Amino acid sequence: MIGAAWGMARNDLAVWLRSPAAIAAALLPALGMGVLVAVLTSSVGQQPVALVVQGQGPLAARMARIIRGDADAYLLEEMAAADAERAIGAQRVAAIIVVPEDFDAAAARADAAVDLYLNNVDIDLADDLRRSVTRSVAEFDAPQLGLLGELHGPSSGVLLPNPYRVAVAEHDPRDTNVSFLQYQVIPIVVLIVISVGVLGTALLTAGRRCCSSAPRAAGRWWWDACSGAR
Amino acid sequence: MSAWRLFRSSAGLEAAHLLGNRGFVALTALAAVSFLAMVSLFGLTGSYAPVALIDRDGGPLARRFIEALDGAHHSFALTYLSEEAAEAALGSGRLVGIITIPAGFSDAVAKGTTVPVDVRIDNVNVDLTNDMQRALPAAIVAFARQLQFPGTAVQMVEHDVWPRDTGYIPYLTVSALALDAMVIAGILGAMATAREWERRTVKLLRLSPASPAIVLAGKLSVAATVAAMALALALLVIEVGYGVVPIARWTTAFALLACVAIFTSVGAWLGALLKRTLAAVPLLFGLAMPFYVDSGALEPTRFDGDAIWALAHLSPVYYAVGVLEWAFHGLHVTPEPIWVDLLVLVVIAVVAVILTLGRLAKGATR
Repeated sequence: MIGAAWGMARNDLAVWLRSPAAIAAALLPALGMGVLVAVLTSSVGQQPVALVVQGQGPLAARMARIIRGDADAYLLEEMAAADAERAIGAQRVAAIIVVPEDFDAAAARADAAVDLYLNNVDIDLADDLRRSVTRSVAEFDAPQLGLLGELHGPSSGVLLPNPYRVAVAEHDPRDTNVSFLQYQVIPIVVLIVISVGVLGTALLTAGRRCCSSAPRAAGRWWWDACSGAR
Repeated sequence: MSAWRLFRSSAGLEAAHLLGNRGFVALTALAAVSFLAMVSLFGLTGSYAPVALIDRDGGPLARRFIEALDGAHHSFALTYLSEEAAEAALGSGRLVGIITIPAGFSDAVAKGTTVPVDVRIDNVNVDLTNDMQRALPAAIVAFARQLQFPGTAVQMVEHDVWPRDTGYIPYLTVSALALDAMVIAGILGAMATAREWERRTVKLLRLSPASPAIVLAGKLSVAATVAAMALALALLVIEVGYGVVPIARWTTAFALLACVAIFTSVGAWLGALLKRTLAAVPLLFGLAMPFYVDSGALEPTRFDGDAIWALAHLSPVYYAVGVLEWAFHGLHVTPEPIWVDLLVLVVIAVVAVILTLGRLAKGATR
């Protein structure tokens, strides 16, 4: 009984391996899905942003350093104001962050601004940038509102006072740090298993119609017929 | 035979074929709506993360903080839950996180003390976690600004390129229309020409004194009309079901009809090239997702870098999304002007028609 099942399995594997179209039909959609996810990862992750630092003082430099430091949020490129304007017009960047010329003087008066020129083409992209720039700007007055502060500040028992009067004590239930692409690998593997399983089985059962009396006749004749020996 | 009569006869024959395949045509229309549902799923993942809120304070400033969380750039869908229910929901994957406002929050904040808000994030992947981590400071900043707390030196001032924000689902539904146009018009166009080989009537067509251009025009006009009806159904679902209305109705209608005509021509060429509906249909469905994703469907492709943007130019959907987002929402999502996008689509259609006629022409070898 087990021998017959084993023989059937070997035969089906041989038939499947001799069908490049079936293999391609099973694998190509899953591989295409992989490419699709890679593109999606690029879309949902960082956005290209131009940084224009016009202020020359130490506070402007500190603000620029905070923005540069948030590498998870932006694909940052520093440029002159005119180049940045051209870049946003040509859609090479999704936003321009400007640390203005009078930043230090204004910060001393508690009245400084960081300008965000945003291509708000849809709220998914625009909100990502609004959240990121707001966090960077908030870090200037409240360093614990940055990512490190959220993860290792109040949650580790270190609470620094800040003018916003609220801090975040983040506790993550998992130790892992899985990227979007890595996360999507598992559904792609599942898709390959389903494609190969469904298409392979469909091909083999449909192909067996030519020798549907085989199970009854059994034995060597069926094996030879299906494996091409007859 | 007059050209008009020939056109009508060809169109009548094609209509009869499609009427004989009513089930297939109905499924094609269903595909148009199902694509809309599919892209809506992308839209639902982009905002409003389900988050449990446990308010142990209940004071006025806690309520103001909750309002700030609610208004934090479409970040959270807040649900009030007990601690046990929230834990259970987070553990079973029904929540992205839990925000706990501690007892005494309002009093402490009113006195100028910094209060830590406890946040648990289901850090199942970096994208989800980052969204939550970035949204919390945005809510905190908005809270402090509303209450005009002193002591902050810097604030962000936003200047938007577009006068109003476009929601993610409204943005995606328009790109779904471009996908619909490609798949449905393409398949119906491919069926119209592939059938000539499948029924072995291509020889008759080649031997006939009738002009193949007029015969093709008759067939494709019917295919395009049926595709346009399927797209009209999808458009109706967008307007009535999603409440997304184009800013320029006639421009949108013209742009959609142009896309239908163009993709019907491309489909006709594929049908004539592959000679079998069973080969053309899976190919069009197979091409749909890569073309769609790399077309500016989710955001302007230019933001994804030079390589992906260059590749996008191979996808006719890229140009169609450019034209339709402009017609529907008034947005420019390609660096190229809209007239260039439209011109490229027209050139693709003209080349497709010429190549199709080449396959149907008397001198063709097979």
